[in-house]
Amino acid sequence: MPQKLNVTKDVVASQLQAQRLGYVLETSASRTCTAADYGKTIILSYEGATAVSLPANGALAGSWIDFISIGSNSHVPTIAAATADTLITNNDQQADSVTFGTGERIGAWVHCISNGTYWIAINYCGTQNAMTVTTA
Amino acid sequence: MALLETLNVTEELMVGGPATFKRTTLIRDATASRTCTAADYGKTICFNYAGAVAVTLPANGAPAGSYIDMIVDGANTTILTVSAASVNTLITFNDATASSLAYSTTLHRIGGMLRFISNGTYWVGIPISGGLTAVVV
Repeated sequence: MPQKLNVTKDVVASQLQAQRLGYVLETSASRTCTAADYGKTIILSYEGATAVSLPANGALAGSWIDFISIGSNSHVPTIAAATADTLITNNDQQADSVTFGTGERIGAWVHCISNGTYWIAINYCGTQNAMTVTTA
Repeated sequence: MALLETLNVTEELMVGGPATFKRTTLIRDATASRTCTAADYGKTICFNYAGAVAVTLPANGAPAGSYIDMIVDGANTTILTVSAASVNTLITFNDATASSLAYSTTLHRIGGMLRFISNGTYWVGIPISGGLTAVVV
């Protein structure tokens, strides 16, 4: 039984149980995501404005990155598309970024998935952490 | 590290350490209707047809844990309705005998995401995207 397994293309399984998901602890004020972040949960905690940039558009369809905020209310995450006016999110196909206002930040969770052309940002927190969309 | 190009596991795959799946299988569906089958389990389907989109889930009784994710990446004209194959059998928020979930409210569609997961008997419909993408039962 292999201790580590690297599958470069498809995994198809009738039943999947992954006890933990890949993650990154990000404590700095900015992060420019790359393909190395696909499939990972980025846990953000910087105490202040935190600027996150998604990889360039055109990522393979289904590529995804999750972001969870665990800082205090002074941690202000902003997740932006690499190209303005291309982020698909709540009621907007031409957004620039998403963020969370005061009182909406701790525990915020954003799922970003590529449709092969653009990134889609989805608020995984329901109505508990209201997500704000910025469109220039 | 063992290196494979593809891995097909007919039953159960268990990973004890951190598992990183860089992509989920994503399908873009630009049509006005779709009848989902077992071939859609574990996949994400993005809908962008400019008009009413009628989606039917597979029949009840799918193996427990089978799931399908659905996202609206079309414009505000994409009106997604997802129905159980049998009426009054969809479990969703505050309703154990619903028939469908829909993004029928204008300006509550783009970026909407639903997960349907089987409990082994019925489908459970979960509105994942919060805030401005209100879903109607």
